[in-house]
Amino acid sequence: MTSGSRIPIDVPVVQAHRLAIAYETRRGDVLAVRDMSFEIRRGETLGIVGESGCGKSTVAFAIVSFLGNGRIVGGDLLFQGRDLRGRSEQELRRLRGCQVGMVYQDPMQALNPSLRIGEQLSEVLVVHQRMDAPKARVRCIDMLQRVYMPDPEAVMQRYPHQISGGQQQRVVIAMALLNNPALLIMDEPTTALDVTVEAAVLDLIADLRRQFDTAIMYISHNLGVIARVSDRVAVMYAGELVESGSVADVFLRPLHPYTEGLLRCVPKLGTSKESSYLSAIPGRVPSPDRLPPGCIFEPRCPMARGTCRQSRPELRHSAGRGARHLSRCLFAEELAEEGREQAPVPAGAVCPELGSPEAILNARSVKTYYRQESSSVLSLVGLGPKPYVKALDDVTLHVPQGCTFGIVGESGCGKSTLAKTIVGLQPLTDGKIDFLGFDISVPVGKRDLMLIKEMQMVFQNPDSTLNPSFSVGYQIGRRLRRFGTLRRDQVREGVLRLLDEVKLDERYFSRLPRQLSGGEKQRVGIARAFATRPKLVLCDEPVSSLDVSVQAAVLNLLMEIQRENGTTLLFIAHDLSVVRYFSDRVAVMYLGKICEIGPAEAIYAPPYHPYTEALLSAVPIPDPSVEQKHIRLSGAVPSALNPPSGCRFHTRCPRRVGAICEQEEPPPIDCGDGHTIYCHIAVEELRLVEAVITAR
Amino acid sequence: MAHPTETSAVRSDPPAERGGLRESLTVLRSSKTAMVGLAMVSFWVLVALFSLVSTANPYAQDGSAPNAPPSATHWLGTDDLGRDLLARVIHGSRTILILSPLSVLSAVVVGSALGLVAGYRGGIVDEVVMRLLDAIMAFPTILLYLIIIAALGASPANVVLAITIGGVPGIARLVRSLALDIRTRDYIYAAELAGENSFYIMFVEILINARGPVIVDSMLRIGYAVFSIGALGFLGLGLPPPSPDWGSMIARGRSFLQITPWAVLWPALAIASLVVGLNLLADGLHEESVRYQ
Repeated sequence: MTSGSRIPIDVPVVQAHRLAIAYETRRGDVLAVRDMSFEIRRGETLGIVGESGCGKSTVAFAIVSFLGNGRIVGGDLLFQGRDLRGRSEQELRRLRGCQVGMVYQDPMQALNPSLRIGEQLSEVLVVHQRMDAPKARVRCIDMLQRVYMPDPEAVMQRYPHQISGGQQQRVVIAMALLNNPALLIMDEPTTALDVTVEAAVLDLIADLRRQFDTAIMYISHNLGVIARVSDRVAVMYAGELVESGSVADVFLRPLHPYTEGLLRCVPKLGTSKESSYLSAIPGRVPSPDRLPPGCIFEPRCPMARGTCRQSRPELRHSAGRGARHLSRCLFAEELAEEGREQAPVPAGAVCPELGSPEAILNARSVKTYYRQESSSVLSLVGLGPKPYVKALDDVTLHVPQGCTFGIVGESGCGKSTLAKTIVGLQPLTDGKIDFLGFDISVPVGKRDLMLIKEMQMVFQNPDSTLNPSFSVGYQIGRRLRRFGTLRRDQVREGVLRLLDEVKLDERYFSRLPRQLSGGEKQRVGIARAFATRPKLVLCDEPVSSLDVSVQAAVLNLLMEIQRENGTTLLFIAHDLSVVRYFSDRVAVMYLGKICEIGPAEAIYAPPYHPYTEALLSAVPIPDPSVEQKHIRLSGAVPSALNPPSGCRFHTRCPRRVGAICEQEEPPPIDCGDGHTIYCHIAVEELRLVEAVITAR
Repeated sequence: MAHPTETSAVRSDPPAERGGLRESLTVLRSSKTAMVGLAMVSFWVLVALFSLVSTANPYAQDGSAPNAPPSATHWLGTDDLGRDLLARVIHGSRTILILSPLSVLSAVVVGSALGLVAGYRGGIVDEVVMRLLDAIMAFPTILLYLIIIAALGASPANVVLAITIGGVPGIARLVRSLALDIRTRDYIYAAELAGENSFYIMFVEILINARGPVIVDSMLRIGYAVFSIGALGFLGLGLPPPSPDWGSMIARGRSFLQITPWAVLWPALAIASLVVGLNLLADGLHEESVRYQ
């Protein structure tokens, strides 16, 4: 039907050879991508992985000539054997429309909010293939079925905001596939989705490759995701390809220190701070106009030596490896031989007395409801029903002193609300919280300054955690002055000491937040939180918006400061591996309720709550040698405005036992050692469930 | 857009203290629009400064030459009473360049305070403040000015008061919307967790981050104020005669428009060029500040 089928099978769909792309800036051309070679064949998925700013998306944009102020300045870029350069705008438009499909991170940006799904989908066929409307409609419904959209006919009539994020992304994927493209470019398509939804979309992508026989270019910073969907992997660093090969080769036997470094930055699911150490990659990605003279990774490389600085290494294969496993390292063989499996270094502070009755924070039956403004006429005049979003419903937890208490769950499960309620930024509707023996069930404005001082918070978004108008030194110093921790003339010294604790030197004192990178901002946020030596620090997703190499450094830093000060941490994250690594005790939340709580190692091993089990089976693991159970939850998280009766998880639970799940709230089951599961299934039965993750 | 900011911080040692003033000058210089605007506004500022030292008397009547065209003795000509138009335009610039920024400044102070309180506190405070301001907004601006000045009498202070009252609702709306956005940022939560009082949070943490749009808005408002003062003068509600006021000069010259256009032309050009200059400056600043965000 399309020209894709006319091209002989042995010609790669996309082929780049020593591709170089430059962006025009005020300071002249900047080479954003250099010497990039790859090819993708039909039915093959190439995963491109690397930190942000490494040129991954630039490569994707070059294929569809969406470079803006950039252009190809060297090398070849062939699409189905033909050069992409020098084509007319019209030809390029046809190419984008018919032969290349693109899927981006945010589906809401790709869909027109004022058109029905059906209109948007059929437009593709009507415009590019001049199909008549009724026929196009049939094709679209068919396509929605193929991306496993439940009830496609109804979805055709809806507007984008009426379906969930995962479904929106399915629609975008369906739209990209409508013209049966030869190439599908996916740029972080699941980054904005929850882990259970992500797992389902990744399954879909793997399925499509078999069904449609398209070539897929899959871009992601997430090693686990890349490992799950790709056949071959290209690792990019600062605009260059540093390693490429099959998934198994690259992930199990990396030949470039950057790849190895990336793999060691992320905690493997199941490892904890007692058993292993996260090694961060020091420094950060150099900007394209200030590259080091020799190997571009040399300044950050643990095995760099003199020769690395002299000339830029070429991409090459090393002895004893397949011809398609390439690396841009002079000492790739050494890396291969050593195996470099470092002895596990215990990194973190272990919770001193697990299960000790000494709890620093007790929350009892905490309820936080938000009033939902209804748009009906009745409620405008104050007569209608007043709906409430039950963000937290009856949450009880005890945080032992000196411990790291992890909280996991998908977005919208109430993790952040819990943190805000505890620190007093969100008034609680009912229940009681006490901290250090004092009742703190009031908002922060009404709390005693001494109690505020003992409980601080590290925020999620590095870009909004610091006031952009004040210098780093002022913002930290303000804390010290506020709480009278230090005499006025000692404040500067105190700030410098705090900066030193978070590994920033004194030059940062007078810098403004916009002069810092994301990781540095987060460090300053940590310094600010620890400035008053609080007893308890709440960390709300402190690393989730950072690159993996920076993530490891920030996590290590948090652990170090915690150990030195004996601080108790309440650590909130959606990344199950990070929470497992970091925490001594873990609570799993779903729709405003805790469904499982206990010591970290107990949560990640049977018996599981069915929701925990599903979460674990959805986590993308950057290790192709690991076997993972396949459990996919159907549907989306129900609205907290009108949560399901009985067990809140019953609408999606794969292990539902029957009517009791819908009618009665699940009782707590004690599994020993402070491990509690809220479920109707008998504990003996839960114990029989096999582990989700097993080594192959 | 994320990468350049990321890399600009790499540039090993950024100058530790980069003055806000020098920075804004750099922004100015990179925009041609803003530079043209700045030149036009600076011209009038210089003229106003010159009026302080100038010996020319705007009240002196040259009986021999009423309604004279430009000549060697009267460079821009004279009005119907034989007063030198150049001297009157120059002296007129002083009042307008003092009154218009002053009235906008006081409107910004009052408007920002109301907007901050409404936006940060929310709830009933927000409702009350904003509905009251809506009531003011319901009046057409010029009518509002007329009412205030008719009630209080024509004087420079009352002109400032009228323009302040007319400007407050708009500024309060702008600052309120900015405050609504800024108060949900994490650094505001962080300030609350430092036990800061709401006064500090509103007037230090929030206001400083709302400054960009407020400054651009004020530039435009100064332009409107120049117009308004001109219009009030034209209607005889500005400065009492015989003060050299651009608006009243136009009103007076209008009667002799068919004999000589000069008495209308110069003050009209003066108002136009000052307003255009201010608008260009505001536009340029806005464009550049958006580009660097």
